[in-house]
Amino acid sequence: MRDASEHRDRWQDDVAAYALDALPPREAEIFEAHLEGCEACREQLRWLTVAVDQIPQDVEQLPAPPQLRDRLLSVVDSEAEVPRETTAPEPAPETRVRRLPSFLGGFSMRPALAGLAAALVLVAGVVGYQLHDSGGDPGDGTRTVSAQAAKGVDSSGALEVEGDHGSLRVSGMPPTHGGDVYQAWIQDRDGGVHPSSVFVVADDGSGVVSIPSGLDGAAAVMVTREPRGGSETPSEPPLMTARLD
Amino acid sequence: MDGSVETDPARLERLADEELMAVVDAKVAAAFEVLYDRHGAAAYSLAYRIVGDRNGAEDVAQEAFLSIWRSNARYDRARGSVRSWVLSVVRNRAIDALRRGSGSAPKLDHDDEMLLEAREAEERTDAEALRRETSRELQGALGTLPDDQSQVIRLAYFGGFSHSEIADMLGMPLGTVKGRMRLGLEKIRVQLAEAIGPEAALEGT
Ligand SMILES: [Zn+2]
Repeated sequence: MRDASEHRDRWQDDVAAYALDALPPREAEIFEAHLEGCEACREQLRWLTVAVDQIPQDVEQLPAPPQLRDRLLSVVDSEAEVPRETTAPEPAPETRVRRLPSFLGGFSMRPALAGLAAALVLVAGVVGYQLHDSGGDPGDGTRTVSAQAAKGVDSSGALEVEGDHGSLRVSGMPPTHGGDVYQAWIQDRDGGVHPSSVFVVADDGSGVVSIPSGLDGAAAVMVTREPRGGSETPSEPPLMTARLD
Repeated sequence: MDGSVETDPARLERLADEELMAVVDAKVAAAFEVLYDRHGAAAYSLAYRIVGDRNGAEDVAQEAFLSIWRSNARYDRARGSVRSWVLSVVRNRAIDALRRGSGSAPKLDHDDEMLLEAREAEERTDAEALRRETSRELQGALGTLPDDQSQVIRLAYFGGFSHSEIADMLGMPLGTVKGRMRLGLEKIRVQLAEAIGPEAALEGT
């Protein structure tokens, strides 16, 4: 009996720390040596490992970036004994987020502005716009431009422009996670892309963002998802684009 | 290779994880695709929780899945479910990445102060890391534990700190830290067992 309690005093806490990978290397070696000959500790370790395995399951779940999947599968196909057939059906869509179009074969690095401009070519242009100044009333007039969602994104938007500023009204935007935000960008006619307002959307995916300046002479307004606080350059291809030219 | 290995994507999708792993080990790309679609989001989410930025999390998840694909990490049924095993591979990679990146103290709890952290990453101290490691997994097993137990477990699991580092950070005896780890894990384990059934709760104690 005394042996058992001595054993427990000596090892029971080490089992838990070891299960959590919290023993420093020397102590871990000593414990592993003990484990070799101790079925009681092995049993306790198996028991507690189930608890440790539960910890990562409770982490807030985020959608994996589509480009990660694309990159992995291209490596895997190149190394496989049995590559996937090229006619393989599209994977089931993610339930948490709509898949973005794969962007120039995946983008492991942040896209250069030139690359972004090229990608815009892939996005269909204006659905239509109307001029509201036919009546001649309010100042030099406002016009409303429909934004075009990227392929696979089921959102819509309308950009109302008045001179150099305007506002973008969006609906059906996918939810953001982990502190991400949406950000508006202004593309000038040379293809340069400049950061504009950061915004979030309501639970139903709708929102309005003010574009305070920069629309005079702009070619397009785009929307991407960015880390909290926004970015200097877009981190992903646009989810939505409103062309002004 | 073995001619009996399943390669039809539709059939692969119906395999249990454990069976699927045998096909992944036979280097069938379609099997890897199914594996990734089942566990990729959980892997990325865990990587993000540990390293705290999206590019880093993506790199970690990619390394983890490639090591699985290349059989550098091998699945052992005795270790538990495939999901748990994938996540343990991710966790190891993520902690390695933290240690590579920060030199000394791993980073913690980026979510709430991401911008601040991006700027202050260099001058971060253990005390700051500790202050930020507030309760996060409110709904999960950790959320049911007393704060003093969940704190040491979070610091070990998500921060990659050893028990002695945690004792230093908290200014408490090593034995107290280890004891809290054990009490917390035992409590989670008992709750899991109770959720499954009374027989399971008896097993192993
Ligand atoms: Zn023992």
